[in-house]
Amino acid sequence: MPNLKIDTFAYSNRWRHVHPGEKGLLVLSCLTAALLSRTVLIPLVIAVAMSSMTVLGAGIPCREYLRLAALPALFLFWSCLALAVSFTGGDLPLAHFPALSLTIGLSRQGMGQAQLALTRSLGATFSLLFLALTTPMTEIMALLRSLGTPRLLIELMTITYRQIFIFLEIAGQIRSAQEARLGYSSARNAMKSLAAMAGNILLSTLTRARHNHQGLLARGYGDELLFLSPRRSWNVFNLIGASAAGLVLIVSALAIRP
Amino acid sequence: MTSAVIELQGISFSYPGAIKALDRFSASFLRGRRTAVLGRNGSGKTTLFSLLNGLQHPQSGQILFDGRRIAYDRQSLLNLRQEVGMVFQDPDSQLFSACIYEDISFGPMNLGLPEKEVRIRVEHALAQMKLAGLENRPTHSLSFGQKKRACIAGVLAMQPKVLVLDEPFAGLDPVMAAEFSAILDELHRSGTTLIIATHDLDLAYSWADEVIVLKEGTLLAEGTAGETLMRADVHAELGASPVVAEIAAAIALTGVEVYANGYLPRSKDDLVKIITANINKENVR
Repeated sequence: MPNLKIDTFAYSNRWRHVHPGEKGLLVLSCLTAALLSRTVLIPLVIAVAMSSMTVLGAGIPCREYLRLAALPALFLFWSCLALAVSFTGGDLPLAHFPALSLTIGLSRQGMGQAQLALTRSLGATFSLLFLALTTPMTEIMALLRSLGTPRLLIELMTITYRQIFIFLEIAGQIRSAQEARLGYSSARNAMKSLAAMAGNILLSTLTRARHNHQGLLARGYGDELLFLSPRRSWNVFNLIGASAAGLVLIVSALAIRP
Repeated sequence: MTSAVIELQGISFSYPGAIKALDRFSASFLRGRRTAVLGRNGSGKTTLFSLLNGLQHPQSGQILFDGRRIAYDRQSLLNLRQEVGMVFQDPDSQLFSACIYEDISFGPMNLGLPEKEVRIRVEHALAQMKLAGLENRPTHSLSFGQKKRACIAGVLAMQPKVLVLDEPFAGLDPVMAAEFSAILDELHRSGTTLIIATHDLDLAYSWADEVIVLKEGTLLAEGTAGETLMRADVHAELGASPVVAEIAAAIALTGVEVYANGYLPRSKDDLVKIITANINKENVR
């Protein structure tokens, strides 16, 4: 069975049964606050709060969380470094190359920008990671649907999400079959096997698409993918908590000036 | 004599650029009965099934549902697809959502039912297929048997009169197959007409009331399972004969009484009962 880490956590964490709307409200207000903030404080608070909620609250193992968070965090760090470093001198010169008439340095303004961009993005990333790790994709889609996301987008997401796992399963089966016949024994063989697999998957995908369409037609599919999501009950305390926290964060983000 | 719920009259159908999948094919499916459609690979079973709920249109001939000729406009097709539920062989080609609750609600929603009614039907179908508690698990974490049950739940939620299943027992382990068989029995008792396609002659012999045997797109035999599946031409075409019947016939040659009501035993259990009863009789003597 194909297994994606984020997906598995989304279905098996402690906060799985919290209404997606409550989690969504919190995440949305954190996102807003992080992006509105003009100082590093609020985004930092959000980043810390969100990651500790994911680990301590929802019970995502710390090691796994760090591994998942490390990739976007590193990426953000490198991109923000580019903001801080200036090649035209700057306030804190680091290296000077007279021959090229080039000075590499840090600019005070750039540093400030980089700090703000970094913390804002971290706050936003950790908020989204919280949602992704605690809420199954189908529930996020149901939430988006109830918020009025265009129908076509939701239909595409629904079908794509389901097909990802079918695709992974088929790819896994083909790979095992190829490996059993030494298809990956050398770099050359591996390349050939991979190409054969890609071709094979393309063909089987087309067949599958036709079968899926027939399957939908057989149950009266018109031109709209109509379905109902399971009902979840709201928890008043969670709702009040999420809105209060969100409100405080947004107001402080607007109020605190550099 | 029960009436035909679906009647095919002189149906011909061919896929573009291919030989005829069905050639002047006529047969009837009787109301409330269990019918098995048998035939070798490529004999036209799948084509026949796709005609039954309007997924394909016949190029000639006509199909009657409840005595009325099937029409192919949008509303008629929707009505037909509500009455004739179709369960595909591969559950992955039927389940479109990663949430089985959403998937099961699809059919009833297409019928335009109010939300409350849809939710009642979904809950009922989940319970009927023993899927309650699984509706919050993602489809990709379910077993093959569970996915298969989810497919049937999605069709039952439309409350069809006729349930058409393509190879329903393929890929199920014996435990799942027995559970599944019990589910079909329950549907049969509640009056649903059941139609299955199968390669498994033994299964058809023990399970079905009626059989339809196809040969290269034409009708080879049609009638009760007990009689039709004993025909030599059917054995020759399918390359097998029902094992239970064969053993019973061999035992009958030794002078043991194996006929009940003039028929050979239909299932393995019946056969075992007859044999043990005879051994006991011998011992008493």
